[in-house]
Amino acid sequence: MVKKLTIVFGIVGVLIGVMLTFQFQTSMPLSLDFAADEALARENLFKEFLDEQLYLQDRIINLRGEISQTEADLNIQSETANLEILESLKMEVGLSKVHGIGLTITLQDGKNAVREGANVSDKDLVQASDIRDLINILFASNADAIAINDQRVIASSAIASVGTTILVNNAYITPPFLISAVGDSDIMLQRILNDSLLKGLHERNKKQNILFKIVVKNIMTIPIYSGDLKTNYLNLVNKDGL
Amino acid sequence: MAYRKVYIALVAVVLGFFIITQGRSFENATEILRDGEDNVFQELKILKEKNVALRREIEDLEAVSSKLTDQNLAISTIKEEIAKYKKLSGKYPIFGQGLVITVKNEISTPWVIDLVNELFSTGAEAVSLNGVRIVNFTAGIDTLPQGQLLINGSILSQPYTFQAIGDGKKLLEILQLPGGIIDRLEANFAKISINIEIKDVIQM
Repeated sequence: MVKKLTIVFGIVGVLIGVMLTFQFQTSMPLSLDFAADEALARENLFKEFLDEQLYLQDRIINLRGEISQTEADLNIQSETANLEILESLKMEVGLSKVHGIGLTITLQDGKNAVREGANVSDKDLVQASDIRDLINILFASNADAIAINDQRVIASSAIASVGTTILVNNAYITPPFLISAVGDSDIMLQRILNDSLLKGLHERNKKQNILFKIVVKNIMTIPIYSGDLKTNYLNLVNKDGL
Repeated sequence: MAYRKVYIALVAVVLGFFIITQGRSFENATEILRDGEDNVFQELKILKEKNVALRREIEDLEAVSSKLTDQNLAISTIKEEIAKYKKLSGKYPIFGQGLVITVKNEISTPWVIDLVNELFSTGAEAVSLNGVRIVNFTAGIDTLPQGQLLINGSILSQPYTFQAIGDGKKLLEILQLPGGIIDRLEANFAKISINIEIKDVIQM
């Protein structure tokens, strides 16, 4: 009897050992030993890049505005049709401001959220994937134009995260995240409030892990796209004719 | 004898505790997998590259602005601008080098969104899914009640073919990084089969 019990305890002990090993080998983000130092160094390095980024984006918006104005002022009769085509194309790719009815969605980290340092709390943070899912629903609801924290989002906008930092068009954005969309607010609202389409987001909102607020707006303006538009690898199949 | 039963019960409780903890830790890991794990150096690298790209865009825009003020160059500049935005608008057929990703077996809408996002994030200049180019007026993938994917009015069925025009080698390199999107897809969908091919010419 004693032998049998010893074997049982032995097996159970091994199982616990295996579990412990798996537990400690689970690849969750590990806190760094010098979190405070790293946070400070990161903050300083970031500031320089972000200040430059803001300046460059402003410059791009101004230049695009100047170009549109110069084109509008051009007094070349033969080019009137082409200028209209150009204006229409710019609107399609996100280089014109869009005004109209719509809604705003505010996504905020939970009250207990920690975005910096060693004690980052993933469940209480708005993730890049939350924003991607919302933007996808808005596009699928035929939104005319979308912006996140005043960054115009177009179909090719990358919404990514690096650690707990969220980047839109590779530009750094910080919470609260204000998503603005011009379009049919009834359709957009209906889709966003559909639990089955944004299950994870609604569940975390109910548990107050994150905060989620929608406001319908009678008039709003979405800015022009302020990022770069690359066409280095793109070729038109039919190059002739405009 | 009664003591032994108590010991066994205690051990069983401890064991149960570990099993639950273990299960939950994997649950959490799955939740954060959609965005991967990165570090501060990568963060800085991305910001640096972004600023380089923005400076190049400014150079291009300054050149356009300057040429528009010259009556002799204005007409050709407008035509160049039209050609550029035609390539981006999605209303005109385009071609270029890039890669094709074929995904067999079902994947969910959020992961399709993630893969498209990753392609644009790593530098793809144009992306299509099962022949539908993803631009402003087609973006947005719906999930139908039966789980099928719907994009721009087309119901998609597998295999899902993602085409991306851009620097194929660079795209492939980034997609296949350890812990990258391909690794994460394979970790989440046991039966998935992903084939990636670099192509000299892709048309969409």
